[in-house]
Amino acid sequence: MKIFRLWGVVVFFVLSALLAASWYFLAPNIIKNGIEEVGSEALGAKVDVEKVEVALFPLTININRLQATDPEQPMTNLFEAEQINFGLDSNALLWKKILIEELTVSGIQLGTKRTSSGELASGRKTEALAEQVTSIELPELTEADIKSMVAKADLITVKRLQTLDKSQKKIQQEWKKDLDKEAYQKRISTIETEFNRLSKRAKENKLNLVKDRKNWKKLKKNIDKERKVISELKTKIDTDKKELQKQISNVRKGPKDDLKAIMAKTGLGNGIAGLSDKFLGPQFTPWVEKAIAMTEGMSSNTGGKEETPVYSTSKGKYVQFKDKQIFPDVLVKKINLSGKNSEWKLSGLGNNIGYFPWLVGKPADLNINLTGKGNATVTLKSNWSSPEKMLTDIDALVSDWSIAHMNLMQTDQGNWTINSGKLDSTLKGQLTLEKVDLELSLKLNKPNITSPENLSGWQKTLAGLLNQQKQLAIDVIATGSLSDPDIKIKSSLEKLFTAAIGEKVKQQAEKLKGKFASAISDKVGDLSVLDGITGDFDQWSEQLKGNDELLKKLKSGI
Amino acid sequence: MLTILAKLLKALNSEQSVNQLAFAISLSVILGFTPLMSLHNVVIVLIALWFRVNLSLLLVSYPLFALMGFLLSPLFESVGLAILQTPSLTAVWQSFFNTLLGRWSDFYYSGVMGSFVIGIITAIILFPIVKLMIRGYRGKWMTKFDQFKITKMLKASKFWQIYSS
Repeated sequence: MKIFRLWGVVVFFVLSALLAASWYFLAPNIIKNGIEEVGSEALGAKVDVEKVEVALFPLTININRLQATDPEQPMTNLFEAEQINFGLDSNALLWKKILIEELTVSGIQLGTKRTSSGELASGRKTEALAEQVTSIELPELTEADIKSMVAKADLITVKRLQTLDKSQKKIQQEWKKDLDKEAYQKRISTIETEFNRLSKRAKENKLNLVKDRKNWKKLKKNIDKERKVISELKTKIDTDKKELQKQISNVRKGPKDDLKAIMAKTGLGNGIAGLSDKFLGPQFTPWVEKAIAMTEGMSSNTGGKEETPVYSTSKGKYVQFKDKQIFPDVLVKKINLSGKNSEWKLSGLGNNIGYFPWLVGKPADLNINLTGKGNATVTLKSNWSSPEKMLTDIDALVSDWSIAHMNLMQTDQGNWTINSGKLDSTLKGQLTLEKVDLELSLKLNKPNITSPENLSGWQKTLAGLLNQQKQLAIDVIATGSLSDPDIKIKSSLEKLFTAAIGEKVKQQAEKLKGKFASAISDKVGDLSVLDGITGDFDQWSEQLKGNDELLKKLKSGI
Repeated sequence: MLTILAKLLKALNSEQSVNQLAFAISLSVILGFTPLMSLHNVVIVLIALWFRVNLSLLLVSYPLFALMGFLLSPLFESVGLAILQTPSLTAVWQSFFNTLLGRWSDFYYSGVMGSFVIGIITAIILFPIVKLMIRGYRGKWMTKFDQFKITKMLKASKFWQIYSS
């Protein structure tokens, strides 16, 4: 009986050829759909590609007319590129790597009009979040609400009081044991009696001093031993007292911390989200939060330098062995960017941009120049010497850029638009995986701002104040680490905002603060009793002092 | 589906070699346990087509093993990771990773490595067991099976027409 079937081999090769052919014909569509899906998800608005062309010899890909919709204005493109061309190195592809010698993005346009809406039909999560943020209102809380909030709150003061109580009881028990009055008095009295006996004998006959020399020595040893114990207990008193005082101080601070936490719950607290809402606009808040979250998971979980890095993928853990093909999985050696319209001209040049970046071996750099209603340059240089070490220099400058019809912020009443103004801006600094050191300065000169109609109260005041300014300035300084950046914002806008909204918020916050403070005080009780807690230490200290003095006196008698 | 089932029964009841049937099950285990779009599965398909392996049995048993593979995937991943991270084997894997075959094999993914190793072991163990089972079926159960009422009913149905065609 034959064990082979020839037709099977023929079927196999025919199937393989059919698969290869169908891939070739389907590849343009697969690439097109891939770009559109991934791009839309990332941007939160439609990314459209008109056509993708794939040529096999040499392997090149042309992407025609890529449009990325502005998520805030679905009928406008944020970015449009007439053509994106690149060739893929076949040898690198054999090693499952994408090596692009030169990537050219030409015909870049910004803010072009779309023929159809680029809004995603099902919307995006970030927009929903932004809507929630914009709908936040200053809380109007009743007395009952406040009491209920405080009652439900897991107050830190109560927790600290419980810890303090435990510590105090523990210390008291220890001291009761250490300062066992009866045992102590018995020991001291024995020493005193022995001293008196030996003194009497010495007075009776001087020779007894020689006879009793061993007893005197023993007595002296006992006195030293007792004094050593006293000295140790004195040190312990200081330590215990300090510990208890620290805890008492924490308890005293408790109501303040509780008040802060509860106020934050009402929306009157601050935080990065609050800062982003106020200064960048609520629509950017989810992105700021995403960026912070993203940076937390940037490094691979290498255990040590000698260990093989492991990455999680859909096929399980990817164990990355040392690669002898010394180039990253994706490497673009050179990028050319160009684009212009009647109002501006853009040109850019980048080198050595790759993934994983530490496998590139050379620093990546990107320089972009934009001229038109002013000048703008962006220079980025990023050097990854290893997966754990990165240094990125950022230097961006915008000078004398005319701003027209730009959205400043959005409120329930409508859009606040900058009709005209001149923008000067700089962004400079360095980023490493451990440290952030960035300074951003935005200056809008001679601003002319249109506010929504039907404004009232503080918002009307703000609108008036905004147009009276010669310059609106915002300075942002980011320091700290990527996962926990410390962002400081100094802004003339803040002053205006405070001036406009100030009194009302201040009054309301003060009113609530007072009520919350009183509710917290009711719940945690009178903290003035804490004053007496360390009183025991003074008493114990006195007791030790008295005993020590007696022993000292006896010793000097010897 | 009926055609495949009919062919399967036909194969079990026919004079076809038990090796061909057991080999089909063994290959099916590897196909089902490991990710379908892997380089080694191209070889498995080539073997299945080239050798006189019973394709009906392979196709019928594949979904069953694929389901088992899905359920066992956490085990595959931990076994694969242990194999890939065994210090004494690191040099071997590293050399293999730096060959074209190694690069396309995807064996540096713990899921692929684990499922492949467990698949191969299961296939080797199953081969004689399946052979024994088929021999047992043909020796004892085939004649008894024909006498069951349900078999007689089946023989009168459309299903049997496909089977006997």
